[in-house]
Parts: sequence; structure tokens; C-alpha cells
Amino acid sequence: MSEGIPVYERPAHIPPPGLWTRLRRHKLAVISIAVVALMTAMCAAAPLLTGYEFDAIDLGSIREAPSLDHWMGTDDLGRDLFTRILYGGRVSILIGVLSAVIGTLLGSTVGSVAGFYGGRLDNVLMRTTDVAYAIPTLPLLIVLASYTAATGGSMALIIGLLSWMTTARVVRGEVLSIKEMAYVEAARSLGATDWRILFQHILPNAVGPIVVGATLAVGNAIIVESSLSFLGLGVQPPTPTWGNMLMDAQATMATKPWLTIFPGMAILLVVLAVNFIGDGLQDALDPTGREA
Amino acid sequence: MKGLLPLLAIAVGACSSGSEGGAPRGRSGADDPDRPKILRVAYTREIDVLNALTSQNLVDIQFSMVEGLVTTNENNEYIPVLAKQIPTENNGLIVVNDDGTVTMTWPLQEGVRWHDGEAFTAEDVCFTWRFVSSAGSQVYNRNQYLGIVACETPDEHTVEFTWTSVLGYYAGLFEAILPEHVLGGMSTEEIITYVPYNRGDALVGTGAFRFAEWRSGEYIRVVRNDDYWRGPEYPAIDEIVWSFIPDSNTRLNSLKAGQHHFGQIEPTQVEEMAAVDGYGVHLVSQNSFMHFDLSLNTAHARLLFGERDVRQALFHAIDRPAIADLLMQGTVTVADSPLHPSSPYHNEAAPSVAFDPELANRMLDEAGWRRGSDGIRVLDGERFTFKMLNRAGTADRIAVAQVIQAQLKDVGVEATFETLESAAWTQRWRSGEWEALVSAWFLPADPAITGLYACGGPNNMTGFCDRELDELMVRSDGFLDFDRRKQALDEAQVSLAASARSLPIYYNVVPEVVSTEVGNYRGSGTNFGSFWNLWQWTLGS
Amino acid sequence: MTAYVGRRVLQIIPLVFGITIVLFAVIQAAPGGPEGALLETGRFIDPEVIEAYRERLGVDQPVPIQYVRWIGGAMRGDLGISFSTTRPVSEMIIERLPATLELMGASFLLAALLAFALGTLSAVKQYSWFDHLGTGFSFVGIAMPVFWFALILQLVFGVWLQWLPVAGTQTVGATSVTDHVLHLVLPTVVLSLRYVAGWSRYLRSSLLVALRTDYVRTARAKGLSEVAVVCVHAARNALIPVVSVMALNLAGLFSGAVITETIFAWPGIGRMFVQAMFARDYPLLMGILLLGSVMVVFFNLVADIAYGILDPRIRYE
Repeated sequence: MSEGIPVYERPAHIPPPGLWTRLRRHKLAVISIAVVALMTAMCAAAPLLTGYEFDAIDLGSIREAPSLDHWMGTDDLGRDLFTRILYGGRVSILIGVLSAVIGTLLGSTVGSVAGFYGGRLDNVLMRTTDVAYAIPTLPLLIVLASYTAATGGSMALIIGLLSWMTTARVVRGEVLSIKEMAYVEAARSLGATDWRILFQHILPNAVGPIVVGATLAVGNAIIVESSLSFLGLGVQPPTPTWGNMLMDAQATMATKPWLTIFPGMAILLVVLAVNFIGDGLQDALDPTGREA
Repeated sequence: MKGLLPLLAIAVGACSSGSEGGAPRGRSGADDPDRPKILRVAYTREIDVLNALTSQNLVDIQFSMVEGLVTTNENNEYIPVLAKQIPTENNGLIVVNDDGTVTMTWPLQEGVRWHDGEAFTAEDVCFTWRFVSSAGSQVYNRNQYLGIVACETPDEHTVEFTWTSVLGYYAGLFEAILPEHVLGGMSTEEIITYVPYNRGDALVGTGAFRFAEWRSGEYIRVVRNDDYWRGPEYPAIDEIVWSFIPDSNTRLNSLKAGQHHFGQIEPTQVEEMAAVDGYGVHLVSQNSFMHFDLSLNTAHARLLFGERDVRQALFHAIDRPAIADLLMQGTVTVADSPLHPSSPYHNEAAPSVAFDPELANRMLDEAGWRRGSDGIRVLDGERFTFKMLNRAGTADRIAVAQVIQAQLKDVGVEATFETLESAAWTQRWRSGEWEALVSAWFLPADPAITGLYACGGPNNMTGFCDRELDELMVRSDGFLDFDRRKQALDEAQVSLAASARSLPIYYNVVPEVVSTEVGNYRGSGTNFGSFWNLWQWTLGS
Repeated sequence: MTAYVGRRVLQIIPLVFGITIVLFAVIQAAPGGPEGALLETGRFIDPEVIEAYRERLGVDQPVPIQYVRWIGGAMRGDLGISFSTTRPVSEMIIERLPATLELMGASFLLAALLAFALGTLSAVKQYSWFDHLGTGFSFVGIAMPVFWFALILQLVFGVWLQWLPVAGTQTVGATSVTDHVLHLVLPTVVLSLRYVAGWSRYLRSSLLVALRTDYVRTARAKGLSEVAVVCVHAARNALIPVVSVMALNLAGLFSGAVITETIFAWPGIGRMFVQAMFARDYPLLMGILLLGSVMVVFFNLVADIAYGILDPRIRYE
């Protein structure tokens, strides 16, 4: 049967010409890259952009509306909101990126090994995945948070460790179906080693779901942290994250809307942007090659 | 949102064609005399069991159905319910015997019936005592009942307790009575785990309302007790629905949408709710105070907090009026004593710690703590830095802790946070492995604070021990006479403040939103809550 | 294939066993115990009362012994008694299942409909304005924190417009289906948007690949309509990653969604679980976790079987 054989196969060790060219076609992705880069740069350069400290409490200026002194207003302890958005962005973005990296690396490794080798190794790995998947976030989080401080780094680690399973399954599925394809058999018959086949022939074709998963993971991690703040867990004060800032402001959502709008929009923008980037990357990396 | 549009159309259609049996805008059937008067309460969380004595939650719902010998009114006074009067030495119902024991007689109301028709008698009271004092009864103030060594029933409407000695806190016991004819004959453990009583089917009380329904996760419904002992005209309300709405924002939204007659909101939402028609916002001051505790439990803590002057200096650095007026937006009052101002035992003259950062700086300098290069004080190579133990999920306490952190930094003291999840925090707090924390106690109307501050007291987790204070508190426990008890407690409050071991910050306030249709609401901040007189409430004109 | 399925089914029991041991260890490893609930209100409690409480509940025993007692009961179908409510755990769970399944089921359905529509149209009309719009819309569902989105909807539709009720499953005393459906709308919308993005993205991604393959070109060349090409030929392979993710998410059907349930006061298992965790109500926790684990293992098997059916190239040894 000739099902499923791509029309054009490019040996994966030669990168598709002009990745940037291909990516540029995806306007939204380009804009999003700019947005993310700008926001990350601003957060990184926080001390240069604002004279306030993120924990500078000023009880006389509680919940003030945006003004010339405080561009985004002040929060429930009188701290400058713009400053906290910048510093909070550091933590939120760190959590997003770090946990996505951890989760994707771990998940892809487990999934590709399981799918490629099959048999008992596959069984053991997948059942381990089952076990890991069955462990709910909350209890594990409470346990881990008791032994480590609830900082951005430990949150990133925890969220990453809780998110690799979906990637593992998806990658395994892709590897399972790709490894049966004719060109893989061809490569094998030419004497290619397992690793070569996996990295040069199979994984590049599975890159779509991996990239999708990774970008979803970045956004997901930022959202998960905000959900944990809802439960009173998550990164603890006085360290700001967009998630805990949003949660703290919920009680006065209708009367002091800027307190929720700014952190909420920050989350929305970054997560949207990251997902558009993933979208663009996935199209640009598509190894089946497409007409212009 | 493809799927949503048709649903929205239905919604609009439904609303315009008349409602389906809800209670929009607090309408309760008041305008129509034939419709039942249903009080809708937006309650905070689902309770665990309906047994008022073994429940670990606040017992408002239980107390609408179950009564005790006494209750507390909004003035922190004990008033009799099932008892005809509260025994005192003056009315002759308390007799101190020659051997030091005390005979206390409680006359009971007559003509009281349980919801199933059985008569309420003194036997029920003695049965309740036997249950509470039995080992493993799980009642939170069990040890206070242990002073009673015997319970007699000279007749059906009289209970006679024999106490080992004079103990001042007797009036607050028996806030609920269990039915002997339902639970008698069971072991303690069986009673605690008796689901028909805990869940409502077998729950009988003497209260104004009877159990009707418990829909898991949603609400509990109680209906009017037509044979209520106070008279056929009570209660004026036909039914109460206690809805469980755990999220405070949802409660606010549901009140703004007019879907409930009563609900608790956050202090930060008071301004918003005050603008809504048809409701009054009542700031109910609680018998609960926020406090900043230091400990002497760890070596490091002893090093930092061992000297009284150093502790006092730290307290002078904290601006409590600003916390009360600005952070809490003026909804709370500064506290100088654990006893609430409405309590007759509150000592107005208890010393108040003034906010004086210059004084704090001077006192710390004099104690030898000099500013280091980073602004934090140092003594013999030790930096003045300590950890505050925060409890995750308590936004108000964490906010206060952050303010304290900032204000201490101004005087060169560094407080860092360690935040633990709820149950983990509780364990750590009780173990004593902590240096400082911000927390809140909820006191009963009875002013006994011995357990909190005594050396080795069961609720003293700070490691502080002051014999003089102990003596004052224990002495006050042994007085029945109000004046003598008050005098001892006044001195105890002064001694406590002088020892600078714990800084009271403010008395907690719970904003209660009550529909203007509700009558006879008398908000109370005691552990009996604002529903203490539900039997008197009215709904509608 | 049959041999594979048979082997997997046999593995279910030891797997669930193993999972329960891990889960029991995890929840016990959290510091603090059920006595924390006693101290919630801030009242003074006698330490003796706390000790007696722990003893009655059996939590003063070593953890392995507690586990053995629990698993022994579980195997006989007795999931134990809840620490906080003194009720049988199985009763409590069964009571909350209908509301949970209703909410989760409605959300899944809505999400599946939206995801398939969006994903397919986006892939077919790649780079069109619809693609970007649809993608953007589905992204908003995962780019907004759940509680923020839920509270905004509640404020707009429940308070300002008063089109929909704010909380609960129905107005107390009302029995009409319309009333119940109205209460279901907001939580369902909030929950479903959470899934739409992921599912539609996965579907779009793999549909794009599938639409470029040889046999699809052949089908087009044969003159088959675009609809037939997409729905019959391309879809089969494209469904693989989506189905696997959906199957995994389906396992969460019984776990509920704590934030949505809390905000809309929906009596689901998610909220009950979180409360039980904070209260360290071990029997209730283990009961819910057991249910969840069985679901995860079961649906993982379902996903794998679906792989095998959808893609005949996949061979299970």
C-alpha cells in the first residue's frame, strides 16, 4: 500500500532552506515574536524602566487608579503596579519557558524511546507514564512545596514534571506510525543506526506535535501557576507573578478594574503570542515541504 | 461561540416570559401572604456534620435546629435558652460546699419538645455531659467539662451539677443538647459516627427550625418548627435555605444579583456592596483578633527575642493605626487586648503600644543591635533576621505580614517569609518550630485566656512563660464573682501587654450583607455567630 | 491486536495497585494531618482532644499499616469512612458523580464540536482570515486564567445582564429542566474553552500533514469532492494525536474541575477533592484517587486501541 508516503522527502540533515523565510510568511507569528521579545526585554530590564521596588509598600496610596506617578496604578498594598508587572513577568515567563523545556525534553525522550523500541521497554515506559498521569497536581504540589520554597524555579520544575506525559504519548504515537513508513525501512536497510534513524528520519517528521505541545506547555504553565494562586498555593508573596497579582485583585474586580486588567492582559498577550509562534514554527518546520 | 447563541436566546426568552420559581431581587413572598417566607442565605462552605458538638466548622446551621442551655447575644453576654436562668451565687443556684466542691443548679424551660414530639428533660442534659466528658468525644472544649464530676436530675426540669471547684467559665458550656432518646445507649464512637444524626435524618433538636433536606455540595434546607416552645407565633420565617457558595467573589455577585437575603463578603468589597439597593452592610466586629506572635522556641529566636526591650522595640516599629485605617480601609479597630471591647472584662486601660519608629531605633541601638552595611542590624556577628511562618490561603494575614515586614525593615530588622500550606502550617505551628507569625484567635464569650498564655498552656505555642501572668489568670478562673474576676483579668491584661510577647493588631471584622427585608437581625461576632436569634427574625413587611 | 489488548487488560489490576501505593505515599507525605481541620476556626482545642481524634481515625498508625487497612477494605468494595463527614466514602463519591459527569460531559461535547469545526476549517483554509481568527479564538480559551474568565462571565451575564444564574445547579425549589440548563451554561462554556484550543490545534496540525500526503493527492486527482477527501481520507490519520489527547482528557471526566466548580458552586468531585486534600481526609482522597486512576488506566488503553484501529500501520507486538 502506498498510503501515507509523503511526496517529497528531504533528508532531514539538510535544513529546509530559509527557515526564517518560511516563518516570515506567518505574519502573526512574526508579530508575536516581536511582542514576546519586547515583553521579555522589558521585564529583564525592569530596574532600568522603573524607580520603584516591587515590594515597596505605601499604605497611603492603596488601589489608586493609573496616574502620572503610577502608570498602571497601585495594588492593595500601595505598590506600583507597573513595577510589579515587570518583575512579575520575569517570574511568570521563567515559569512558562523553563517548565515547557523540562516537560518537552522529558516527554519527547520517553515517547520516542517507547515508540521506537516497542516491546517491553515501551510497555514499562508507558505504564510509568500512566502512573505519572494518575498523580494529581494538587497533592504532589502540596508535598513538594513543603520541602522547597514556593519560588518561580521550584514551580517551574513541578509544573514541568507534571506536564511531560501528554507529550510522551503524542510523540510515541507519531513515532509508532512513522517508523513503519517505507523510507524508514529504506534507511534501515542502508545500514543506518537506531539513533540516526530516530533523530534524522523519524523525529523531524514528528516535530509538528512536539512544537505544538511545547508552545501549549509554555502558556499552560503560566495558566497553571495562576490556578494555583486561586487555591492559595503557587508563588507566594511578596514575589509577584502575573497569576498571583490577578488573583489578589479579584475581590475588587468591578470597582478597581485596572488591578485585574493589566496582569490579565499581560498573561493573555504572552500566552497568545507564544501560541502563534508555535503555530508559525510548526508550519515552517513542516518537513514534507510545500509549494510556496 | 456557535453553541452559545441559541442558549442565550433561550435565556432571554425565559426571563422575559416570567421566572421559573426563583427569588429574584430578594423577593421572598413578602408581598403575597400565602407564599412561604423563605430566607436564602449565601453560606460560606459546606459543613461536615450536623452534630453541633462534634462538628469542626462554625455551627450556625446546626444552631438553627439545636439549642443549648445558653447562647451568646451580640453584646458578648450569655443568655439562657433552654435554661430558665443562668446560675449565679446571687440567685442561690450556685452553692459552694464546705469541702470546696460546688453544686450548680440549672432550672430548665418547661413544655419543650424535641422535633419528634418527645419531651425535653433534664436527662438529656446529663446525657450530653456524659457524652462530652467521655474519652474521645472530640468536643473542642471538652476539658472545660471535666470540672463536673456528677450530674443529677432531681426532677424532669432541674439539672444539678457537682463541680470539683469553683471555675468561672461554667456559663459557656452546653451550647447544644443532644437527644438522649435518639443517641442514648450508643458508645461515644458510635455517636460521633452516627450518620443518621450527622446527616440529618435522625436529627432532632428543640430549635425554631427542623431539618428538611441536605443536598450534597449545594444547600441545607430547614423548615419551621410548628411546635416551637417559645410560642406558636415563632419563628416568623417558614423556611431557610443555606446555600454553600465557597468563593467570596461569587457570593458578592449573587448578592448583587439579588439572589440571597444574607451573605458574608470581604472587607474590600464593602464599598461596592454598600451602593447596592435593598441591602445593608453590617461590619460585625468579631471576638477574634489578629496578632503578631514571637516565639522563644528556637535558639535563634531566643537570641533575637530573648530581651523584653528588643521585643518592645519591634512592636513600636509597627504602625497599627495605619494597618487598621488604610490597609483594612477603616473597617477594623486596633486591638490592645485579647478580650474584645464589648466584653465586660475588657480592660480599657491596658497599655497600648504606640507607633514610634524613632523610639524603636533607639531601643534597638541601646540593646546593642547596630546597623550593618546593608541596613540590617547586627550584634556579635548575628544579623537580626528571622522567618515569619505564613499560612497559604489566608490573604488578610499575609497582607498584614507584608506590612510588618516592610515596617520592620525600616528599623533595620529583616523578616523573611516561609509559607506553608494550611495543614502543614498547622502542624508546624503546633510543633513550635517557628520564630514569628501572624495569626488570629477566636475567643468564646467567656474571658478565660489561660490556655493561650500560661506556661505550657495547651494553646501556648510560643514558648513564653511568665509565672506572674499565670498566677493572675489561674486566679481569675477561680472566681465566680464578676468584680473579683474582672480585677484579676484586668491585671492579667496589663501584665500580658507589659511582657511584650505578642502584639495584638486589630479585631477582625466580618462584613455581613443583610437584605432590608430581614427584621430583627442583630449581628454578633461571637462563636455563636449572627444567627443566634433566628427564632426572632422576620422576613418582609 | 487481540493479544495486545488482552495483555493490557491483565495489566490493569497490578497497575492500579501500584498507582494506589504511589498515591497513598504522596498524600501521606504531605506534612500535617486531619487534625488540622480541628484548628481551622481558631478556637482553642484541648491537645487531648486532638490526640484522641487522631487515634480514632487511625492516623497515628505507621503509614504502611494504614495502607494495608485501606487496600484490604477497598478490595472488598469498602472504601472506608470519610474523616470529616463520617459518611461512607463510596456514598459521597456516588452522590457527586452525576453533577460531575453532567458538567464534564457537556463541556467535552461542546469542546469537541467546536474543536472539530475550528480545526478542520483552519487546516483546510490555511492562512485565510478564518484560519487566523479561528486560531486566535481558540487560543483565547487557553490564554486566559480560568478563574478570571469565569468571574468575568459571571459578572457580565449574572450580575449586569442578569441573563444567567450566578451559581448552583438550579434555583432551590425549582424542578424545571430549563432552569437547570441555564445553570449549566456558564460553567460549561468556561470549561469547554479550556479543551478547544488544544484539540483544535492538534487536529489542525496533523490534518495539515495528512492533507499533503500522496494518497490524498491521489484521492483529489480521482475527482473526489473536497469534503470526502478531508473527512474520509485525511481525517483517519489526522485523528491520531487528537484522539490520544482527547482520551487522556476524557480520563479527567470523573475528576471534575475545581476552579469552575468552586466559582459556580457546582457540586462536583473536583471541589470535593481539593477540600479533602486541605483537610487531609485520607479515605475520601484515596477513594477519589482510586476512581481517577482506574479511569486514567482505562482510557489510556482506549486511546491505544483507537490508535490501532485508526492507523493500521501501527503494529502492536
